[in-house]
Amino acid sequence: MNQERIDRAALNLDQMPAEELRVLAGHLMVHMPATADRDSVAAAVTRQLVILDGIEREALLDVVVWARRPVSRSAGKLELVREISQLRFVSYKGLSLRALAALAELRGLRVPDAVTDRMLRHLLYRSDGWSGWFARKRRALVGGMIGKLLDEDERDEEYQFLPERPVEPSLRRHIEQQGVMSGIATRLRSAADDYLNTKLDEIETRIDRKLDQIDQRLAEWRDQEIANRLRIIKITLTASIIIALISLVYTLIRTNL
Amino acid sequence: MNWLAGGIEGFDPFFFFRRILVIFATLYSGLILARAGWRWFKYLYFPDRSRQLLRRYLFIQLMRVRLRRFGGDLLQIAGLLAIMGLVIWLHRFVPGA
Repeated sequence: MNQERIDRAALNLDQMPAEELRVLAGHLMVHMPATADRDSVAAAVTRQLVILDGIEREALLDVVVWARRPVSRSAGKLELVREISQLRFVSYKGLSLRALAALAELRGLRVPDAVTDRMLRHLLYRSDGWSGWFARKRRALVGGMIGKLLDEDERDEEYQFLPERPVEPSLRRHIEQQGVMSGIATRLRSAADDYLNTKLDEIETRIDRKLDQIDQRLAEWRDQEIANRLRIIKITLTASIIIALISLVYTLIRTNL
Repeated sequence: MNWLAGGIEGFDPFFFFRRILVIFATLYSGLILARAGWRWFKYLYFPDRSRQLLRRYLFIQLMRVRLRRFGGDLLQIAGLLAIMGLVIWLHRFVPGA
C-alpha cells in the first residue's frame, strides 16, 4: 500500500494568494461558494488534503487510467486528483472497487466498511443528482451518435502512460564514462537538446494559443450566424402573423357585408 | 379554380393573393434550402482528407452550440408560433375563411 503524504510545506497554503487557493480547491474537488472567504477555503483544502493522504495513490491512478487522462506512471497524488477533478457525470462502469471508494471519498461521501462496487456506484450516482443523470444520458446518446458518424474504429486503444522525464547523469559521471572530450560533448549536446525542446514547447504553446484564438473567433462567428438566422425566422413569422390577421379581418368584414 | 381564389362568392382577389403567396413562398424557400443543402453536402462529402477534417470540425462546432445563449430568441419564436397557431385556429370560426 502506497499512502504517500502530500508535502504541506511545499504547497505553502498560508502564503498562497486567495485566487490560487481557489484554483487549488477546484483541483482538489473542493466546491466552495464564490462568497466563501479565504480562511474557510484554506480550511476546506486542508481537510481535503487529509482525506487525500488516506487514499492510495494506486487507487487514484486506477481512476485516471480508467478515464484515460494523460499522466505519467509516477505522477503524484496532486497531479492525479487534478485530472480526476476534470471528470464530471461519468458512468463509473469498469472502475475498480478501490477506485470507486477513492472517488467517493474525494467527493466527501461516507464510505461504509463492507461495501461492494455496486453500492459505491449507486452512492456516486446519487451524489450526481438528477442533473447528473440527465447529463450522463445525454452524453451517452450524443457520444454514441457522433462515434457512429465520425469514428471509424470504435474500440479504445490500450492506455499508455506519458513518458517519464529521463534522469540526467552529472558531468562528472559523463567524463568518467566517456572521457573528457566525449563527456563534455555529450553534456553540451544534452544541454542543446534541452534548449531545443524548451523552444519547441514554447512554439507549440504559441501555436496552441493561436489555434484557440481561431477556434474562439469561429465560435463567435457561428453564434452570430445562428442569431442572424433566428432573426430571419422571427421576421418571417411576424410577417405570416400579419398576413393571417389581415386575412381574418378581411374575411370577417366580407362575411358581414 | 375554387381552391386557388375561391371565397364564398366565387373569385376573390385577396384569397388569390394569399394562396399565390403561400405557394411561391413555400416553393422558393424549399428550393433555396434544398440547393444550399445540396451544395454543402457536395462540398463536405468530397472524398478528401482536408474535407473530412473540415466535416468533423464543423460537426464538433455544431455540437458545441449552447442553446441557452439563444434561449430568448427561441422563446420569442415559440411565442410567435403560438400566436400564429391561434390566428389560424380563429379562422375556423369565420364562415368562408
